[in-house]
Order: sequence, then structure tokens, then C-alpha cells
Amino acid sequence: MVATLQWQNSTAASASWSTITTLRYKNANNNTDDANDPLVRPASGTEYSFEKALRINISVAPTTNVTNLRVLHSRNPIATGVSIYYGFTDTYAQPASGASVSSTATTELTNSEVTWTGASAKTDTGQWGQFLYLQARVTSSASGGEVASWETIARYDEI
Amino acid sequence: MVLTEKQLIKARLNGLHYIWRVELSNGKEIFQFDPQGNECPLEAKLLQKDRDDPYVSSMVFTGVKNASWIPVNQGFEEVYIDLAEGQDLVLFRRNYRSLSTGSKDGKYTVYCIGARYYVPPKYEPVEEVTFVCPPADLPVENTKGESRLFTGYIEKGLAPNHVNPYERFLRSIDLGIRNFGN
Repeated sequence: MVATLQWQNSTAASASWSTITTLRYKNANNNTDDANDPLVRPASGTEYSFEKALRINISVAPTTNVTNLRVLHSRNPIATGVSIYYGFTDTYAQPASGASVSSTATTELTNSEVTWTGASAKTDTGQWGQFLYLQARVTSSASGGEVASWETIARYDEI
Repeated sequence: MVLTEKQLIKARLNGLHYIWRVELSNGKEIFQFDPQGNECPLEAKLLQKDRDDPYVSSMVFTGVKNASWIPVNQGFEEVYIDLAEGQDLVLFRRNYRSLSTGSKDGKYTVYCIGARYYVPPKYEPVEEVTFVCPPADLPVENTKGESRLFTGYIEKGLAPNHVNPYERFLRSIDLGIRNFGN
């Protein structure tokens, strides 16, 4: 069969994964697509979003294997004064609040692909690779209003 | 080459624009979704590479005479490769599974086929791959809310560092955004 890969997200204290199709960076620990809990452009310094805890789940196994898992954004910069930081970890922790900078998502994710840590060739179902943590950072140079959507892309090879 | 109705149905159920066909060195022909193909896709060996191989992550099969990606839909062309003595088959799909901050997520697949061979005097490997990039089903949106649709392209390059036409399209969206004055 052709493998089926899913993006999954957990917001709980103990990991509880659900398949998602959208992400919303906000000042709350959820992905509800609404105008509540927005990130507010700071007069100075940096505004941080809640972390996003993500993983790749294989729900249908590949015929042979899947390899070469990468992640990237569809554009760079996301917007002036807006950037997304990432990090991989083996240990799940509930996404941290936006009160401060993430201790896991410490490197900026751009439109240049990065290798997904811990994702060696896989032949079966289940989680593939480590957990991916993302956090949005907004500085005072950002424009007001909503940032146009972009895509966070998982890239992988299969036969 | 014309696919059977059964192959077409399976391909469409799996969201594929192409399915693969290989002819092994012993003359046996196998299609994706054949029973033999599901258990051991090529009845050929998946090449095991060294950790420091410059093409370590791509999938290469030995024992193949020729292969092709056969289009599922009309208007696409078959991409065929005949392998010479000492060449192995590079064959894989490169998938893009995206998560949007907008209202929808997306899927896109590039179909890759090529030859791996070794260049003297050191016999270092080269993987020359054709990247078949079908037109995308969904447009990508930029920061001005404008959408652009990838219209498809076929191109040959050296894996793994070759930037295929779909990835270049994504990067061109970025350039566009810079030009829009962000």
C-alpha cells in the first residue's frame, strides 16, 4: 500500500495525539481557528506563542519503506517580525505557555529543509521520528493584523 | 502503455498520478499493486548503502533491466528508463505533506526515476534522476492573499541536492513575497 502520513498534535499534560490539518499560533494551548488569544505585537522585545507539540504518525504502512523525513516552511520570512522556531525531542512535555522563550524550539525554521531527528527508514505504522516543537516569535517590527497562511511541510521518500 | 481498470482504480484510491512498472533482469515484469509488488516490490534487492554515501537516503534497486512511471490520467507522459550494464535503478516518490496555518492542509508528490552508476577511477556513485512533477491540485497562498498554482514540470538532475521544479516553485513564492514589500 501507499503509506499514509498524518500530522498529529497534543496539548495535554500526558501526550494525547490527534490528527490535525491546521495550526494556529496563539496565546492559548489549542488550535482553534478563531480570533481569541492572539499574539500581540510588542512595543519592544518579543512576544512568544504557546509551543506546538507535533509528531508524524504513519497510519498505513508503506509497501517497502519511507525514508528521508525533512521539515520546512513554504516561505521565508513568514512575515516581517514574525518567525517560527523549532526543536526535536525524545521526551514529551505539555506545550509551554508563551510567557517565555521555548527551551526546545530554539532554532529558526525557514524554507530550507532540515532533517527530522530520529527518523530512520521505517516500514511499519506508528510514530516516525522524534517530537517536533514549534513556537512563534513576534517582534515590534511586525505589522498589525493577521498574517497570511503558510504551510509547514513534511517531506519524505517512499516506494 | 495502457493500465488496466483495476490498476487505475487502485491508483486513484491512493491519490497517485503515476504507478511504477519494472522489468527485472530475468525478463519478469511487475507493476505497482501486483501481488508480487506488494510483498517485495521489485523482487530485486534494495541496495544497502554506506553511511557516508552521498546518496544515502535514496532508494536504489539492483537487478532491474528497465522501468517506468506510467501516468494514471490522460495528458501526462510516461517516463521510462533503460538501465545499462553496471547501472542500478533509482525509484521513489518524494511526498510533501503540509500543515497549513490557514484553512486546509495539502499533499503533493514528485515521482523520481533514474540510474545509479559508478565513475572511475575511484568509482564514486552518481545518481542521475528524472523528477516528474505533476500539476498541483491546490494553489499556494502568499502574504497578499494571492494564490498561485504549480502547473507541473519534468526535469533531470543529480540527486539528492537537485532542487526539483516543485521546490523551486515554493521558493519562487518566497521571492514573490519579498517583492511585495514585506
